[in-house]
Amino acid sequence: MTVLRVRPEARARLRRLQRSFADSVRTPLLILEDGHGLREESYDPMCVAAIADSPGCPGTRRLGVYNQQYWFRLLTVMQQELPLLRRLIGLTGFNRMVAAYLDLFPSRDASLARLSDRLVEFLNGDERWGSQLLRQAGLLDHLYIRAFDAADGAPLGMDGLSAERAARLLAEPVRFAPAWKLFREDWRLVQARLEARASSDDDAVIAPDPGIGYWAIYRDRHRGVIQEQVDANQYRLLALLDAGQTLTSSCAILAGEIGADACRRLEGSIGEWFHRWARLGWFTATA
Amino acid sequence: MTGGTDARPRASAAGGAVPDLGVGVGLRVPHYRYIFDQWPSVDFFEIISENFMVDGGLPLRNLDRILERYRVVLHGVSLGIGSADELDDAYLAKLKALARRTRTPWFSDHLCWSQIDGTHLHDLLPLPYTAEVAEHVAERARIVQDLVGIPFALENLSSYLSFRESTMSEWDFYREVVERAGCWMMLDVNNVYVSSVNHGFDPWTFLDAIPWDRVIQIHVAGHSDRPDGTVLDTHDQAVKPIVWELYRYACERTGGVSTVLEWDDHFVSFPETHAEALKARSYRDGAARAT
Repeated sequence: MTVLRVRPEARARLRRLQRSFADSVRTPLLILEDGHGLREESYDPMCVAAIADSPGCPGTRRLGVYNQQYWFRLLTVMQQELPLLRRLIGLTGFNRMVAAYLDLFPSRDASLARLSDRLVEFLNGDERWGSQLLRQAGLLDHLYIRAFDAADGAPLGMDGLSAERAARLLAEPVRFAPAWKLFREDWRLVQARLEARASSDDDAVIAPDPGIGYWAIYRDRHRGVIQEQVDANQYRLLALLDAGQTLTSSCAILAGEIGADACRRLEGSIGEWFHRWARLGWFTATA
Repeated sequence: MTGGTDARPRASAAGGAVPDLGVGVGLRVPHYRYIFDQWPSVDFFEIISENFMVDGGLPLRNLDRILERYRVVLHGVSLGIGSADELDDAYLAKLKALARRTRTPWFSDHLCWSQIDGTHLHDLLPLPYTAEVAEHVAERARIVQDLVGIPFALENLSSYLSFRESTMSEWDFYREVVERAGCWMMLDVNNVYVSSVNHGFDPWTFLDAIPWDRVIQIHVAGHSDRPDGTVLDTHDQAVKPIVWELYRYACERTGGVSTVLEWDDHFVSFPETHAEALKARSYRDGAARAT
Protein backbone atom coordinates (compact mmCIF):
# COMPACT_ATOMS: atom_id res chain seq x y z
CA MET A 1 0.00 0.00 0.00
CA THR A 2 1.38 3.36 -1.04
CA VAL A 3 1.45 5.88 1.79
CA LEU A 4 -0.15 9.20 0.94
CA ARG A 5 2.03 12.21 1.63
CA VAL A 6 -0.75 14.76 1.61
CA ARG A 7 -1.14 16.42 4.99
CA PRO A 8 -4.10 15.03 6.96
CA GLU A 9 -5.47 18.48 7.70
CA ALA A 10 -5.55 19.29 3.99
CA ARG A 11 -7.50 16.15 3.32
CA ALA A 12 -9.85 16.87 6.21
CA ARG A 13 -10.50 20.34 4.80
CA LEU A 14 -11.31 18.87 1.41
CA ARG A 15 -13.60 16.32 3.05
CA ARG A 16 -15.56 19.03 4.85
CA LEU A 17 -16.05 20.95 1.63
CA GLN A 18 -17.12 17.85 -0.30
CA ARG A 19 -19.56 16.80 2.43
CA SER A 20 -21.13 20.21 2.42
CA PHE A 21 -21.30 20.21 -1.39
CA ALA A 22 -22.83 16.73 -1.42
CA ASP A 23 -25.50 17.73 1.11
CA SER A 24 -26.43 20.68 -1.09
CA VAL A 25 -26.47 18.69 -4.34
CA ARG A 26 -28.72 16.08 -2.70
CA THR A 27 -31.22 18.70 -1.49
CA PRO A 28 -34.59 17.30 -2.61
CA LEU A 29 -36.37 19.08 -5.44
CA LEU A 30 -39.90 20.38 -4.97
CA ILE A 31 -41.70 17.85 -7.15
CA LEU A 32 -44.93 19.38 -8.41
CA GLU A 33 -47.65 18.08 -10.72
CA ASP A 34 -46.49 20.41 -13.47
CA GLY A 35 -42.74 20.46 -12.95
CA HIS A 36 -40.25 20.97 -10.19
CA GLY A 37 -38.58 23.65 -8.14
CA LEU A 38 -35.26 24.10 -6.38
CA ARG A 39 -34.94 24.68 -2.64
CA GLU A 40 -31.92 26.95 -2.83
CA GLU A 41 -32.61 28.21 0.69
CA SER A 42 -31.85 24.67 1.96
CA TYR A 43 -28.32 24.49 0.57
CA ASP A 44 -25.62 24.05 3.19
CA PRO A 45 -24.46 27.58 4.19
CA MET A 46 -20.84 26.40 4.30
CA CYS A 47 -21.05 25.30 0.68
CA VAL A 48 -22.78 28.50 -0.42
CA ALA A 49 -20.09 30.56 1.30
CA ALA A 50 -17.35 28.55 -0.42
CA ILE A 51 -18.61 29.21 -3.95
CA ALA A 52 -17.38 32.20 -5.90
CA ASP A 53 -19.90 34.24 -7.84
CA SER A 54 -19.56 33.70 -11.58
CA PRO A 55 -19.95 36.37 -14.27
CA GLY A 56 -23.55 37.55 -14.12
CA CYS A 57 -24.63 34.66 -11.95
CA PRO A 58 -24.62 34.19 -8.17
CA GLY A 59 -22.89 31.06 -6.91
CA THR A 60 -26.11 29.67 -5.46
CA ARG A 61 -27.70 29.51 -8.89
CA ARG A 62 -24.72 27.61 -10.24
CA LEU A 63 -25.01 25.19 -7.32
CA GLY A 64 -28.60 24.75 -8.45
CA VAL A 65 -27.32 23.42 -11.80
CA TYR A 66 -25.65 20.53 -9.97
CA ASN A 67 -28.64 20.03 -7.67
CA GLN A 68 -30.93 19.79 -10.68
CA GLN A 69 -28.57 17.57 -12.67
CA TYR A 70 -28.26 15.16 -9.76
CA TRP A 71 -31.99 14.64 -9.46
CA PHE A 72 -32.72 14.58 -13.18
CA ARG A 73 -30.07 11.98 -13.79
CA LEU A 74 -31.17 9.69 -10.95
CA LEU A 75 -34.90 10.11 -11.56
CA THR A 76 -34.43 9.36 -15.25
CA VAL A 77 -32.47 6.21 -14.54
CA MET A 78 -35.05 5.01 -12.02
CA GLN A 79 -37.93 5.77 -14.40
CA GLN A 80 -36.26 3.61 -17.04
CA GLU A 81 -35.25 0.80 -14.72
CA LEU A 82 -38.53 0.53 -12.79
CA PRO A 83 -41.21 0.71 -15.51
CA LEU A 84 -43.80 -1.22 -13.51
CA LEU A 85 -43.57 0.86 -10.36
CA ARG A 86 -43.63 4.03 -12.42
CA ARG A 87 -46.85 3.01 -14.18
CA LEU A 88 -48.51 1.82 -10.98
CA ILE A 89 -47.83 5.05 -9.11
CA GLY A 90 -47.84 7.61 -11.92
CA LEU A 91 -44.91 9.83 -12.83
CA THR A 92 -45.25 12.55 -10.19
CA GLY A 93 -45.85 10.09 -7.38
CA PHE A 94 -43.05 7.89 -8.65
CA ASN A 95 -40.60 10.80 -8.62
CA ARG A 96 -41.62 11.62 -5.05
CA MET A 97 -41.18 8.00 -4.03
CA VAL A 98 -37.72 7.85 -5.63
CA ALA A 99 -36.73 11.11 -3.95
CA ALA A 100 -37.80 9.69 -0.57
CA TYR A 101 -35.93 6.45 -1.28
CA LEU A 102 -32.68 8.12 -2.36
CA ASP A 103 -32.85 10.49 0.56
CA LEU A 104 -32.88 7.49 2.89
CA PHE A 105 -30.66 5.21 0.79
CA PRO A 106 -28.29 7.32 -1.33
CA SER A 107 -26.24 5.56 -3.97
CA ARG A 108 -23.32 3.58 -2.55
CA ASP A 109 -22.00 2.21 -5.84
CA ALA A 110 -20.15 3.73 -8.76
CA SER A 111 -22.66 2.19 -11.16
CA LEU A 112 -26.07 3.75 -11.76
CA ALA A 113 -27.35 0.21 -12.35
CA ARG A 114 -27.08 -0.39 -8.59
CA LEU A 115 -29.29 2.58 -7.67
CA SER A 116 -32.30 0.45 -6.80
CA ASP A 117 -30.39 -2.13 -4.74
CA ARG A 118 -32.19 -1.21 -1.50
CA LEU A 119 -35.53 -0.21 -2.97
CA VAL A 120 -37.33 -3.34 -1.76
CA GLU A 121 -35.98 -2.74 1.73
CA PHE A 122 -37.24 0.84 1.52
CA LEU A 123 -40.69 -0.23 0.34
CA ASN A 124 -40.92 -2.86 3.07
CA GLY A 125 -40.35 -0.22 5.71
CA ASP A 126 -42.25 2.71 4.30
CA GLU A 127 -45.84 3.47 5.28
CA ARG A 128 -46.69 5.64 2.29
CA TRP A 129 -45.22 3.54 -0.50
CA GLY A 130 -45.08 0.14 1.16
CA SER A 131 -48.36 -1.45 0.07
CA GLN A 132 -48.16 -5.13 -0.80
CA LEU A 133 -48.81 -4.30 -4.45
CA LEU A 134 -45.94 -1.81 -4.65
CA ARG A 135 -43.61 -4.10 -2.69
CA GLN A 136 -44.22 -6.92 -5.14
CA ALA A 137 -43.87 -4.57 -8.11
CA GLY A 138 -40.63 -3.15 -6.76
CA LEU A 139 -39.26 -6.64 -6.25
CA LEU A 140 -40.20 -7.66 -9.78
CA ASP A 141 -38.57 -4.60 -11.36
CA HIS A 142 -35.50 -5.25 -9.23
CA LEU A 143 -35.26 -8.90 -10.34
CA TYR A 144 -35.12 -7.81 -13.96
CA ILE A 145 -32.41 -5.28 -13.17
CA ARG A 146 -30.28 -7.82 -11.31
CA ALA A 147 -30.73 -10.48 -14.00
CA PHE A 148 -29.50 -8.13 -16.71
CA ASP A 149 -25.82 -8.14 -15.79
CA ALA A 150 -25.52 -10.98 -13.29
CA ALA A 151 -22.58 -13.32 -13.80
CA ASP A 152 -22.66 -15.83 -16.62
CA GLY A 153 -22.43 -19.45 -15.57
CA ALA A 154 -21.65 -22.54 -17.62
CA PRO A 155 -25.03 -24.20 -18.14
CA LEU A 156 -25.59 -27.63 -16.69
CA GLY A 157 -25.41 -30.11 -19.59
CA MET A 158 -27.92 -32.94 -19.33
CA ASP A 159 -26.95 -34.86 -22.46
CA GLY A 160 -24.93 -38.03 -22.04
CA LEU A 161 -24.90 -37.92 -18.26
CA SER A 162 -23.07 -40.83 -16.71
CA ALA A 163 -24.92 -42.86 -14.09
CA GLU A 164 -22.55 -41.57 -11.46
CA ARG A 165 -23.17 -37.94 -12.49
CA ALA A 166 -26.94 -38.46 -12.54
CA ALA A 167 -26.82 -39.93 -9.06
CA ARG A 168 -24.84 -36.94 -7.83
CA LEU A 169 -27.39 -34.56 -9.35
CA LEU A 170 -30.09 -36.21 -7.26
CA ALA A 171 -28.08 -36.12 -4.07
CA GLU A 172 -26.35 -32.72 -4.23
CA PRO A 173 -27.80 -29.22 -4.03
CA VAL A 174 -28.52 -27.75 -7.45
CA ARG A 175 -26.69 -24.58 -8.42
CA PHE A 176 -28.88 -22.01 -10.14
CA ALA A 177 -27.65 -19.54 -12.74
CA PRO A 178 -26.89 -16.20 -11.03
CA ALA A 179 -29.40 -14.41 -13.28
CA TRP A 180 -32.24 -16.80 -12.38
CA LYS A 181 -34.85 -15.85 -9.77
CA LEU A 182 -38.31 -17.07 -8.75
CA PHE A 183 -41.22 -14.68 -8.39
CA ARG A 184 -44.71 -15.17 -6.92
CA GLU A 185 -47.35 -12.55 -7.72
CA ASP A 186 -50.78 -11.75 -6.27
CA TRP A 187 -51.62 -9.43 -9.16
CA ARG A 188 -50.85 -9.91 -12.85
CA LEU A 189 -47.66 -7.94 -12.47
CA VAL A 190 -45.41 -9.70 -14.94
CA GLN A 191 -47.91 -9.13 -17.72
CA ALA A 192 -48.46 -5.55 -16.58
CA ARG A 193 -44.72 -4.93 -16.68
CA LEU A 194 -44.42 -6.31 -20.21
CA GLU A 195 -47.28 -4.05 -21.29
CA ALA A 196 -45.78 -1.05 -19.51
CA ARG A 197 -42.50 -1.51 -21.35
CA ALA A 198 -44.24 -1.89 -24.70
CA SER A 199 -46.52 1.12 -24.21
CA SER A 200 -45.61 4.55 -25.52
CA ASP A 201 -48.00 6.24 -23.08
CA ASP A 202 -45.64 6.75 -20.17
CA ASP A 203 -48.05 8.79 -18.12
CA ALA A 204 -51.00 6.40 -18.02
CA VAL A 205 -51.46 4.82 -14.59
CA ILE A 206 -52.27 1.11 -14.67
CA ALA A 207 -54.14 -1.12 -12.21
CA PRO A 208 -53.32 -4.80 -12.71
CA ASP A 209 -55.96 -7.46 -12.09
CA PRO A 210 -55.62 -9.66 -9.00
CA GLY A 211 -54.41 -13.17 -9.69
CA ILE A 212 -51.79 -15.50 -8.25
CA GLY A 213 -49.00 -16.42 -10.62
CA TYR A 214 -45.59 -18.10 -10.41
CA TRP A 215 -42.65 -17.12 -12.60
CA ALA A 216 -39.01 -17.68 -13.21
CA ILE A 217 -37.11 -14.56 -14.34
CA TYR A 218 -33.91 -15.47 -16.19
CA ARG A 219 -31.61 -14.74 -19.11
CA ASP A 220 -31.90 -16.57 -22.41
CA ARG A 221 -28.93 -17.70 -24.46
CA HIS A 222 -28.82 -14.28 -26.16
CA ARG A 223 -28.46 -12.70 -22.69
CA GLY A 224 -31.89 -11.08 -22.87
CA VAL A 225 -33.90 -11.11 -19.63
CA ILE A 226 -37.14 -13.04 -20.06
CA GLN A 227 -39.71 -14.83 -17.93
CA GLU A 228 -41.43 -18.20 -17.91
CA GLN A 229 -44.60 -19.06 -16.03
CA VAL A 230 -44.53 -22.17 -13.84
CA ASP A 231 -47.32 -23.87 -11.93
CA ALA A 232 -47.68 -24.07 -8.17
CA ASN A 233 -45.95 -27.45 -7.83
CA GLN A 234 -43.10 -26.43 -10.09
CA TYR A 235 -42.73 -23.21 -8.09
CA ARG A 236 -42.59 -25.13 -4.82
CA LEU A 237 -40.05 -27.57 -6.18
CA LEU A 238 -37.87 -24.78 -7.57
CA ALA A 239 -38.15 -22.86 -4.30
CA LEU A 240 -36.95 -25.92 -2.36
CA LEU A 241 -34.05 -26.44 -4.75
CA ASP A 242 -33.18 -22.74 -4.56
CA ALA A 243 -33.16 -23.01 -0.76
CA GLY A 244 -30.44 -25.67 -0.98
CA GLN A 245 -32.46 -28.88 -0.84
CA THR A 246 -31.33 -31.72 -3.10
CA LEU A 247 -33.61 -32.92 -5.85
CA THR A 248 -34.33 -36.07 -3.86
CA SER A 249 -35.19 -34.23 -0.66
CA SER A 250 -37.20 -31.59 -2.53
CA CYS A 251 -39.35 -34.29 -4.08
CA ALA A 252 -39.87 -35.89 -0.68
CA ILE A 253 -40.94 -32.58 0.88
CA LEU A 254 -43.26 -31.85 -2.02
CA ALA A 255 -44.80 -35.31 -1.69
CA GLY A 256 -45.45 -34.66 1.98
CA GLU A 257 -47.18 -31.39 1.15
CA ILE A 258 -49.39 -32.41 -1.75
CA GLY A 259 -50.16 -36.00 -0.74
CA ALA A 260 -49.09 -39.35 -2.12
CA ASP A 261 -51.68 -39.55 -4.89
CA ALA A 262 -50.88 -36.16 -6.31
CA CYS A 263 -47.22 -36.91 -6.02
CA ARG A 264 -47.57 -40.18 -7.93
CA ARG A 265 -49.22 -38.24 -10.76
CA LEU A 266 -46.23 -35.91 -10.87
CA GLU A 267 -43.56 -38.58 -10.74
CA GLY A 268 -43.18 -38.82 -14.49
CA SER A 269 -43.21 -35.07 -14.92
CA ILE A 270 -40.49 -34.01 -12.54
CA GLY A 271 -37.71 -35.51 -14.65
CA GLU A 272 -39.09 -33.77 -17.73
CA TRP A 273 -39.33 -30.49 -15.85
CA PHE A 274 -35.77 -30.76 -14.67
CA HIS A 275 -34.44 -31.52 -18.15
CA ARG A 276 -36.41 -28.61 -19.63
CA TRP A 277 -35.18 -26.19 -16.98
CA ALA A 278 -31.63 -27.33 -17.57
CA ARG A 279 -32.05 -26.74 -21.32
CA LEU A 280 -33.30 -23.23 -20.56
CA GLY A 281 -30.05 -22.59 -18.70
CA TRP A 282 -31.58 -22.26 -15.24
CA PHE A 283 -28.89 -24.46 -13.67
CA THR A 284 -25.15 -24.10 -13.84
CA ALA A 285 -22.64 -26.88 -13.93
CA THR A 286 -21.30 -27.95 -10.57
CA ALA A 287 -17.64 -28.79 -10.02
CA MET B 1 -12.83 -8.26 -42.77
CA THR B 2 -15.78 -5.92 -42.56
CA GLY B 3 -15.68 -3.15 -40.01
CA GLY B 4 -12.67 -2.47 -37.89
CA THR B 5 -10.16 0.25 -38.29
CA ASP B 6 -8.99 1.94 -41.44
CA ALA B 7 -6.63 4.14 -39.52
CA ARG B 8 -3.41 4.66 -41.39
CA PRO B 9 -0.17 4.08 -39.56
CA ARG B 10 0.67 7.29 -37.77
CA ALA B 11 3.40 8.51 -35.58
CA SER B 12 2.59 7.67 -32.01
CA ALA B 13 1.56 10.48 -29.73
CA ALA B 14 3.16 11.84 -26.61
CA GLY B 15 6.67 10.76 -27.36
CA GLY B 16 5.70 7.18 -28.10
CA ALA B 17 3.74 6.60 -24.91
CA VAL B 18 0.63 5.53 -26.79
CA PRO B 19 -0.44 4.93 -30.39
CA ASP B 20 -2.47 7.44 -32.38
CA LEU B 21 -5.68 5.53 -33.08
CA GLY B 22 -7.24 8.11 -35.39
CA VAL B 23 -10.80 9.39 -35.03
CA GLY B 24 -13.24 7.39 -32.93
CA VAL B 25 -16.73 7.58 -31.55
CA GLY B 26 -18.12 7.05 -28.07
CA LEU B 27 -19.90 3.67 -28.19
CA ARG B 28 -23.56 4.07 -27.16
CA VAL B 29 -26.43 1.59 -26.90
CA PRO B 30 -28.75 3.26 -29.49
CA HIS B 31 -26.11 2.55 -32.15
CA TYR B 32 -25.56 -1.13 -31.36
CA ARG B 33 -28.08 -2.41 -33.87
CA TYR B 34 -26.51 -0.48 -36.73
CA ILE B 35 -22.97 -1.40 -35.75
CA PHE B 36 -23.76 -5.11 -35.38
CA ASP B 37 -25.67 -5.15 -38.67
CA GLN B 38 -23.30 -3.06 -40.76
CA TRP B 39 -19.91 -3.31 -39.04
CA PRO B 40 -18.97 0.18 -40.25
CA SER B 41 -15.38 1.13 -40.72
CA VAL B 42 -14.43 3.07 -37.59
CA ASP B 43 -10.91 3.81 -36.36
CA PHE B 44 -11.79 2.94 -32.77
CA PHE B 45 -14.48 3.16 -30.12
CA GLU B 46 -14.32 4.69 -26.68
CA ILE B 47 -16.45 2.94 -24.06
CA ILE B 48 -17.69 4.17 -20.70
CA SER B 49 -15.77 1.86 -18.36
CA GLU B 50 -18.48 1.58 -15.70
CA ASN B 51 -21.02 0.26 -18.21
CA PHE B 52 -18.87 -2.83 -18.62
CA MET B 53 -17.54 -3.31 -15.09
CA VAL B 54 -20.27 -5.88 -14.54
CA ASP B 55 -20.35 -9.58 -13.78
CA GLY B 56 -21.86 -10.80 -17.07
CA GLY B 57 -24.84 -10.61 -19.37
CA LEU B 58 -25.51 -8.54 -22.45
CA PRO B 59 -23.05 -5.70 -21.77
CA LEU B 60 -20.04 -8.03 -21.82
CA ARG B 61 -21.42 -10.06 -24.73
CA ASN B 62 -21.79 -6.88 -26.78
CA LEU B 63 -18.35 -5.70 -25.73
CA ASP B 64 -16.77 -8.95 -26.82
CA ARG B 65 -18.44 -8.63 -30.23
CA ILE B 66 -17.03 -5.11 -30.56
CA LEU B 67 -13.58 -6.28 -29.50
CA GLU B 68 -13.55 -8.89 -32.26
CA ARG B 69 -13.42 -6.10 -34.84
CA TYR B 70 -12.43 -2.79 -33.29
CA ARG B 71 -9.87 -1.14 -31.07
CA VAL B 72 -11.39 0.11 -27.84
CA VAL B 73 -10.21 2.64 -25.26
CA LEU B 74 -11.65 3.06 -21.77
CA HIS B 75 -13.13 6.26 -20.44
CA GLY B 76 -14.44 6.35 -16.86
CA VAL B 77 -16.89 8.63 -15.12
CA SER B 78 -16.86 7.36 -11.52
CA LEU B 79 -13.27 7.02 -10.35
CA GLY B 80 -13.55 10.24 -8.37
CA ILE B 81 -9.83 10.93 -8.43
CA GLY B 82 -10.31 14.12 -6.41
CA SER B 83 -12.46 12.66 -3.66
CA ALA B 84 -11.35 12.90 -0.03
CA ASP B 85 -12.45 9.26 0.35
CA GLU B 86 -9.96 6.42 0.10
CA LEU B 87 -9.49 4.98 -3.37
CA ASP B 88 -12.02 2.23 -3.98
CA ASP B 89 -10.01 -1.03 -4.26
CA ALA B 90 -12.96 -3.01 -5.61
CA TYR B 91 -13.59 -0.43 -8.32
CA LEU B 92 -9.93 -0.41 -9.30
CA ALA B 93 -9.81 -4.20 -9.47
CA LYS B 94 -12.75 -4.21 -11.87
CA LEU B 95 -11.18 -1.43 -13.91
CA LYS B 96 -7.94 -3.34 -14.20
CA ALA B 97 -9.78 -6.48 -15.28
CA LEU B 98 -11.65 -4.50 -17.93
CA ALA B 99 -8.42 -2.95 -19.16
CA ARG B 100 -7.01 -6.43 -19.63
CA ARG B 101 -10.14 -7.68 -21.36
CA THR B 102 -10.19 -4.78 -23.81
CA ARG B 103 -6.40 -4.44 -24.22
CA THR B 104 -6.91 -0.68 -24.08
CA PRO B 105 -3.65 1.19 -24.68
CA TRP B 106 -4.62 3.78 -22.05
CA PHE B 107 -7.56 4.71 -19.84
CA SER B 108 -8.98 8.03 -18.82
CA ASP B 109 -11.26 9.64 -16.25
CA HIS B 110 -12.10 13.15 -15.12
CA LEU B 111 -10.25 15.65 -12.96
CA CYS B 112 -13.08 15.86 -10.47
CA TRP B 113 -14.69 14.17 -7.48
CA SER B 114 -17.91 12.16 -7.48
CA GLN B 115 -18.31 10.56 -4.07
CA ILE B 116 -17.79 11.36 -0.43
CA ASP B 117 -18.26 9.18 2.66
CA GLY B 118 -19.12 6.33 0.29
CA THR B 119 -22.09 8.17 -1.22
CA HIS B 120 -21.93 8.49 -5.00
CA LEU B 121 -23.38 11.60 -6.59
CA HIS B 122 -22.99 10.31 -10.17
CA ASP B 123 -21.74 13.64 -11.43
CA LEU B 124 -18.40 15.19 -12.29
CA LEU B 125 -17.93 17.73 -9.52
CA PRO B 126 -15.38 20.55 -9.43
CA LEU B 127 -12.45 20.85 -7.06
CA PRO B 128 -10.87 23.90 -5.45
CA TYR B 129 -7.76 24.73 -7.43
CA THR B 130 -5.08 24.86 -4.73
CA ALA B 131 -1.60 23.40 -4.43
CA GLU B 132 -2.61 21.02 -1.64
CA VAL B 133 -5.58 19.66 -3.61
CA ALA B 134 -3.32 19.27 -6.65
CA GLU B 135 -0.94 17.23 -4.51
CA HIS B 136 -3.80 15.11 -3.19
CA VAL B 137 -5.10 14.36 -6.69
CA ALA B 138 -1.64 13.77 -8.14
CA GLU B 139 -0.77 11.17 -5.51
CA ARG B 140 -3.94 9.28 -6.20
CA ALA B 141 -3.49 9.51 -9.96
CA ARG B 142 -0.01 8.07 -9.66
CA ILE B 143 -1.30 5.17 -7.55
CA VAL B 144 -4.09 4.47 -10.02
CA GLN B 145 -1.75 4.53 -13.01
CA ASP B 146 0.73 2.23 -11.29
CA LEU B 147 -1.99 -0.17 -10.25
CA VAL B 148 -3.68 -0.49 -13.65
CA GLY B 149 -0.30 -0.61 -15.34
CA ILE B 150 -1.03 1.44 -18.48
CA PRO B 151 -1.02 5.19 -19.17
CA PHE B 152 -3.74 7.08 -17.31
CA ALA B 153 -5.09 10.31 -18.74
CA LEU B 154 -7.08 12.92 -16.84
CA GLU B 155 -9.77 14.92 -18.60
CA ASN B 156 -10.30 18.60 -17.88
CA LEU B 157 -13.76 19.28 -16.53
CA SER B 158 -16.65 21.33 -17.79
CA SER B 159 -17.84 23.12 -14.68
CA TYR B 160 -20.48 25.59 -13.58
CA LEU B 161 -18.97 27.01 -10.44
CA SER B 162 -15.63 27.75 -8.81
CA PHE B 163 -14.48 28.04 -5.22
CA ARG B 164 -13.35 31.15 -3.39
CA GLU B 165 -10.38 29.27 -1.95
CA SER B 166 -8.90 28.54 -5.39
CA THR B 167 -5.48 30.06 -5.77
CA MET B 168 -4.64 28.69 -9.23
CA SER B 169 -6.23 28.87 -12.65
CA GLU B 170 -7.84 25.69 -13.90
CA TRP B 171 -5.12 25.20 -16.52
CA ASP B 172 -2.32 25.63 -13.98
CA PHE B 173 -4.06 23.16 -11.67
CA TYR B 174 -4.54 20.67 -14.52
CA ARG B 175 -0.89 20.87 -15.53
CA GLU B 176 0.28 20.68 -11.94
CA VAL B 177 -1.65 17.50 -11.28
CA VAL B 178 -0.58 15.75 -14.47
CA GLU B 179 3.08 16.66 -14.15
CA ARG B 180 3.25 15.74 -10.46
CA ALA B 181 1.50 12.43 -11.12
CA GLY B 182 3.45 11.56 -14.23
CA CYS B 183 0.19 10.82 -15.98
CA TRP B 184 -1.36 12.17 -19.18
CA MET B 185 -3.98 14.55 -20.48
CA MET B 186 -7.23 13.73 -22.16
CA LEU B 187 -8.02 17.21 -23.39
CA ASP B 188 -11.70 17.96 -23.94
CA VAL B 189 -11.79 21.09 -26.08
CA ASN B 190 -15.57 21.40 -25.67
CA ASN B 191 -15.08 21.45 -21.91
CA VAL B 192 -12.47 24.17 -22.29
CA TYR B 193 -15.03 26.28 -24.13
CA VAL B 194 -17.92 25.50 -21.74
CA SER B 195 -15.88 26.42 -18.68
CA SER B 196 -14.42 29.49 -20.37
CA VAL B 197 -17.91 30.94 -20.79
CA ASN B 198 -19.13 29.89 -17.37
CA HIS B 199 -16.09 31.29 -15.59
CA GLY B 200 -15.23 34.17 -17.89
CA PHE B 201 -11.75 33.17 -19.03
CA ASP B 202 -10.15 33.07 -22.47
CA PRO B 203 -10.14 29.51 -23.89
CA TRP B 204 -7.02 30.24 -25.90
CA THR B 205 -5.18 31.13 -22.70
CA PHE B 206 -6.15 27.71 -21.38
CA LEU B 207 -4.81 25.98 -24.49
CA ASP B 208 -1.60 27.98 -24.51
CA ALA B 209 -0.82 26.64 -21.03
CA ILE B 210 -1.18 22.99 -22.04
CA PRO B 211 2.00 20.88 -22.06
CA TRP B 212 1.17 19.32 -25.43
CA ASP B 213 3.54 16.41 -25.09
CA ARG B 214 1.25 15.18 -22.29
CA VAL B 215 -1.91 15.09 -24.44
CA ILE B 216 -2.72 11.56 -25.61
CA GLN B 217 -6.38 11.96 -26.54
CA ILE B 218 -8.84 14.73 -27.37
CA HIS B 219 -12.63 14.89 -26.92
CA VAL B 220 -14.99 16.95 -29.01
CA ALA B 221 -18.72 17.30 -28.30
CA GLY B 222 -21.74 19.56 -28.57
CA HIS B 223 -23.01 21.86 -25.84
CA SER B 224 -26.14 23.89 -25.03
CA ASP B 225 -26.57 27.55 -24.17
CA ARG B 226 -29.07 28.40 -21.41
CA PRO B 227 -31.01 31.66 -21.43
CA ASP B 228 -29.21 32.79 -18.27
CA GLY B 229 -25.86 32.61 -20.08
CA THR B 230 -24.69 29.33 -18.55
CA VAL B 231 -23.32 26.84 -21.07
CA LEU B 232 -24.09 23.18 -20.37
CA ASP B 233 -21.93 20.26 -21.50
CA THR B 234 -24.87 18.30 -22.89
CA HIS B 235 -23.29 16.16 -25.64
CA ASP B 236 -26.62 16.29 -27.44
CA GLN B 237 -25.87 17.98 -30.74
CA ALA B 238 -23.19 18.63 -33.34
CA VAL B 239 -19.89 20.20 -32.39
CA LYS B 240 -20.07 23.99 -32.60
CA PRO B 241 -17.68 25.98 -34.84
CA ILE B 242 -15.84 27.59 -31.92
CA VAL B 243 -15.06 24.14 -30.53
CA TRP B 244 -13.74 22.98 -33.91
CA GLU B 245 -11.50 26.06 -33.93
CA LEU B 246 -10.11 25.08 -30.54
CA TYR B 247 -9.65 21.56 -31.87
CA ARG B 248 -7.80 22.87 -34.92
CA TYR B 249 -5.39 24.68 -32.61
CA ALA B 250 -4.91 21.54 -30.51
CA CYS B 251 -4.11 19.57 -33.69
CA GLU B 252 -1.57 22.15 -34.74
CA ARG B 253 0.12 21.88 -31.38
CA THR B 254 0.02 18.09 -31.07
CA GLY B 255 0.33 17.12 -34.71
CA GLY B 256 -2.86 15.13 -34.19
CA VAL B 257 -3.70 12.63 -31.47
CA SER B 258 -6.49 10.08 -31.01
CA THR B 259 -9.79 11.95 -31.05
CA VAL B 260 -13.28 10.93 -29.93
CA LEU B 261 -16.67 12.51 -30.53
CA GLU B 262 -18.98 12.18 -27.52
CA TRP B 263 -22.72 12.22 -28.26
CA ASP B 264 -24.91 11.15 -25.32
CA ASP B 265 -28.43 12.50 -25.78
CA HIS B 266 -30.89 13.37 -28.57
CA PHE B 267 -29.14 10.69 -30.56
CA VAL B 268 -28.89 10.77 -34.32
CA SER B 269 -28.09 7.76 -36.51
CA PHE B 270 -24.68 6.17 -36.30
CA PRO B 271 -23.68 7.30 -39.83
CA GLU B 272 -24.57 10.89 -38.89
CA THR B 273 -22.68 10.62 -35.61
CA HIS B 274 -19.66 9.12 -37.33
CA ALA B 275 -19.76 11.76 -40.06
CA GLU B 276 -19.66 14.45 -37.37
CA ALA B 277 -16.66 12.75 -35.79
CA LEU B 278 -14.87 12.46 -39.11
CA LYS B 279 -14.87 16.24 -39.51
CA ALA B 280 -11.94 15.98 -37.12
CA ARG B 281 -9.88 14.31 -39.84
CA SER B 282 -9.61 17.46 -41.92
CA TYR B 283 -8.16 19.35 -38.96
CA ARG B 284 -5.78 16.50 -38.15
CA ASP B 285 -4.70 16.20 -41.76
CA GLY B 286 -4.22 19.97 -42.01
CA ALA B 287 -2.00 19.91 -38.96
CA ALA B 288 -0.05 16.95 -40.33
CA ARG B 289 0.56 18.78 -43.62
CA ALA B 290 1.72 21.86 -41.74
CA THR B 291 4.33 19.81 -39.92
